[in-house]
Amino acid sequence: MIVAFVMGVFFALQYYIPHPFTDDLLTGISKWFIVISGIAMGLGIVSLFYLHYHKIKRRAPAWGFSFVMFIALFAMVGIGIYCANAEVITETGKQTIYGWLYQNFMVPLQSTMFSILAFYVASAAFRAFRAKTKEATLLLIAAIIVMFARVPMGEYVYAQIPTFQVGGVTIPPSIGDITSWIMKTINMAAQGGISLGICLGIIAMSLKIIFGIEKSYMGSTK
Amino acid sequence: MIWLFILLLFFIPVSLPAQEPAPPTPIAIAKTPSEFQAYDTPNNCLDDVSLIWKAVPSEVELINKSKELKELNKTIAELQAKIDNAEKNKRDDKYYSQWEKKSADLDENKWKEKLAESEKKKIKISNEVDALKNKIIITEYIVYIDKNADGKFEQEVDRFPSNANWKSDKEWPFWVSGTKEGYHYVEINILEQFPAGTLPELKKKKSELQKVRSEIEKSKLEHKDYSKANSRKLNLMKEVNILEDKVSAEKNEIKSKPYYFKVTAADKDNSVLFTFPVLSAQAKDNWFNWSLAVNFLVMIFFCATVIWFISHAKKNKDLFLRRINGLDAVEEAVGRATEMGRPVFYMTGITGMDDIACICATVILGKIAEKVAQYDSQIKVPHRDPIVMTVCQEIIKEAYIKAGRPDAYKSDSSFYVTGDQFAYTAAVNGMMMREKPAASFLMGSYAAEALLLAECGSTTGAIQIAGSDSTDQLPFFITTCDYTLIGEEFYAASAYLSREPVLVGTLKAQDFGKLFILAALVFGAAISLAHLPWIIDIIKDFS
Repeated sequence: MIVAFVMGVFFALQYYIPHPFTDDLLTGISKWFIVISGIAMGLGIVSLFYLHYHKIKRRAPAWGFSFVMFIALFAMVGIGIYCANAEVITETGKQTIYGWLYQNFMVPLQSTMFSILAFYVASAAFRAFRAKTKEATLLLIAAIIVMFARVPMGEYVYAQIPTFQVGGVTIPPSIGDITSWIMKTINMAAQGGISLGICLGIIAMSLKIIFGIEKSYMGSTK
Repeated sequence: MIWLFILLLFFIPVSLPAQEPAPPTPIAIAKTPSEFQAYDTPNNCLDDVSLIWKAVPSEVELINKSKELKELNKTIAELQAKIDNAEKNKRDDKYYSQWEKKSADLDENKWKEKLAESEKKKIKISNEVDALKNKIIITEYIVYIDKNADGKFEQEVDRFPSNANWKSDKEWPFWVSGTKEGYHYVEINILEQFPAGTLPELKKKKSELQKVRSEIEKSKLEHKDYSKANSRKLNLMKEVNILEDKVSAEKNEIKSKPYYFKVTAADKDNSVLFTFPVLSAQAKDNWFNWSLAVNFLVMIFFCATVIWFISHAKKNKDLFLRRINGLDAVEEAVGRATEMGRPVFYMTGITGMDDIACICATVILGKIAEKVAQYDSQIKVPHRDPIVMTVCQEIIKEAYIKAGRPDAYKSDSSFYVTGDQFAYTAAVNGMMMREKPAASFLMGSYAAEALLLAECGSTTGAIQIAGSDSTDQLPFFITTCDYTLIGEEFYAASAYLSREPVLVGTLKAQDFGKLFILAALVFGAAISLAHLPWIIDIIKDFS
């Protein structure tokens, strides 16, 4: 708790002190953090081994995946250590085996996960945009306008609507202007309110930690 | 007699000869710049020294007039564009009714009148600008530096036109910079003017070291022996370290002395018109950034408010807290998990313990784990940061002890998955699909994986409670989760769940902070609407 207090006060004051002394101290502490993270990674790997070893031992559901995990882990670590300089010739040129494995296994898997987002966005949007209440109807209308403006076809269709001038103002306004107004006025106002609450929450939480009012993150509630 | 006197009184002012207006007081126009000052640049610890001096009034006037002319040109261009557009519409016959056409004509006439006025004003100001340009004799300033007060001042530091380098361009509040208008301002880096003697040697050695490193990398790739290059690298590294210490000592030595500055004003033929007396200044390391003084005071004020509300909450234990449905549902979610015999999943987000949202998520975990222990259910906390994992293990253990169920604690309830964002998501989604949790908590900061996790949890039929400060991900949580703690509710969760007066007190302080900010917003909006630019300028200094 004393460490949390001292460090909390120091980092808060460091923002106001431009002296190289505090900068050096901050750099030193950041290096400590990197060292601790490195040590903690060891703990993480131990936890991973323990979990998957017991899954295999207990023949837990889908324990085969734990085998895959061990094979992938040992293969990548082994190749990284023992074949660091070994290269393969690909269409794009020379590449280390480690790089090739990363490029051809990890990257496609990551892309696959990311691409699932598109389907999830569609299903989430379907649930969110059902006009059950007045608020949901407003959300639906706003969403349709914004989506309409974001696709070229929507912009093209909207441009076919005839416009006229009243007092120097074009009626109806362009869909880009309407979208921009929704995003910059309504959306930004709501986001501003939320951000304000978040900032105050962060400050209050930080103070609770610095003054030792909140201790449960240390595992201690006394 | 009295009447005559009164009548005379009426006539006296009328009959007195009209007084001639007093001749205008001649305005004292300084022909030379003045108030030369040299000092350490405030608010930073760089090796800078600042010089300021008051410009000749006509220079300031020229700047103001030029600004005015620029604004006017902008207005003229806008009006012209509007008129052109209206005429184009007329030509293309874009108006649908007579009424509409008339309305457009009215607008066009109005713009034309304004344009004519602006053109007249432009001619007037252009003439004034030309007159001022002819009046100004000083065309440029030249700044010199020397180590001695009686030195030759042959080292030129800066040379700039007399209508440039204004102090008002610096975004410093008034208590740091004082009067801003009408002052020239120059910042001089001492170490750039007098670099450390060993610096070229250090640069040379560093470049050699870089070359050796590249050589080693190349040899590694070509599977060649690089032991000689490696020993050369080690020697060079030692030399670089020694040189770096030397350069650092030299820099300190250079900075420890005052330096002398001379500023001269020259005309267009480069002949010196004026020279300021020599002044000295020394670059120092500052201990406080005065431009952040208001920020510092607000921080102190908010800290004091929090402390006051905490002490107030200790005395008055019945402070009102509005209901937060998401937190009221925690008990229901954990109870459901017990009834169904399925686990509770808890995610702490993608950030580490250096993020306050993650700390908040771990704090909430403690409260939920306690409920899980009381209800004899099971909690699973997958992690992507080993430090967070270690912290959570301790928190869960403590929660089980607090609930009086230390025997039910399982050390593998909090476990590490992977540090990769999507690999973590895939692993957690897989676990969710296999184990079908009864409740799923998504607390902390999230990025693209927010929807992947929440939507997957939704398909498993789990009660989902999310709490996040990631404003970009909140819409996804709202659409996919049963309850969402939005922003500040997330930070209020620990106080709400524990109901400890000390923690509740901080929530009251937050509310007070919001009130203060709202009042500032209303005040700012009113000032802005009242169009009082000078007040806005002062307020900007406080922002």
